[in-house]
Amino acid sequence: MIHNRISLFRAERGESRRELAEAVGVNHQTIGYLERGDYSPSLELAMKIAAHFGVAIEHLFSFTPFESVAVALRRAEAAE
Amino acid sequence: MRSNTIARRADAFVHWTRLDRVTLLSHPERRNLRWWPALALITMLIGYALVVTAIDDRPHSVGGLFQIGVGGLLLFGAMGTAGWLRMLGPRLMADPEHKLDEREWMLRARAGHISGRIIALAAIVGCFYCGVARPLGLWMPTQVIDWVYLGVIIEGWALVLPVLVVSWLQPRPERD
Repeated sequence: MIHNRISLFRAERGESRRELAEAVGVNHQTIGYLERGDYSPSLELAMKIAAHFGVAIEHLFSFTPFESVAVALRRAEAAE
Repeated sequence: MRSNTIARRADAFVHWTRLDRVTLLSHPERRNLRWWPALALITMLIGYALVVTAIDDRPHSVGGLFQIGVGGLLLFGAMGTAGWLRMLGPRLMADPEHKLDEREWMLRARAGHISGRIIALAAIVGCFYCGVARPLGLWMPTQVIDWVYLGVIIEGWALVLPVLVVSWLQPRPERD
């Protein structure tokens, strides 16, 4: 299974699934399935989504679960 | 005021029947149909059974004609329903504005494969059945109409079985 942070990036931009779907050329339901982890994208689609958000592909997709925002914030606070 | 209420009720009725989703200007929200296609498939078989048993057993009696009428209604009603289900269920064909994306192509391929296997398996079983039906004195299609309607059923199954398969292959979509 491939984990992803699409919903996080999408929420940060205030984009709907439909808007992201139109930007990367897929059905909006496909974005929903991607976010839920019900579908693993092709390399082409993964690169399109990463390019849309302007980040490296590994920032969006991973074979291991991403840490939650809360954990990342606590870690950042501890590091300061 | 009253006409406004009637118009609203008429609108609500059209939305309830989902007829609004098949107009040229609409963008139908496709959804999984996990039971209606199965019902259509079974109804086709029941309609076929009613027609062919009446034609073989009592084609000229009033009861036989009634049975043929009911069976034909079920069979062709289910065929018509199958066409609607193709339009309301998960997308299997691209429309002018939206091509199928990679996930939909994959699902369509899997559904076509599974449906083809099921129909092929049914044909194989049917051939074996026809091979032993006559020696065992069981019913088998003999008249032209029996075979023609059997062809109609296979066409109906090929139409609606992929809708059923895709609806079970993909999880329920989330609302945006």
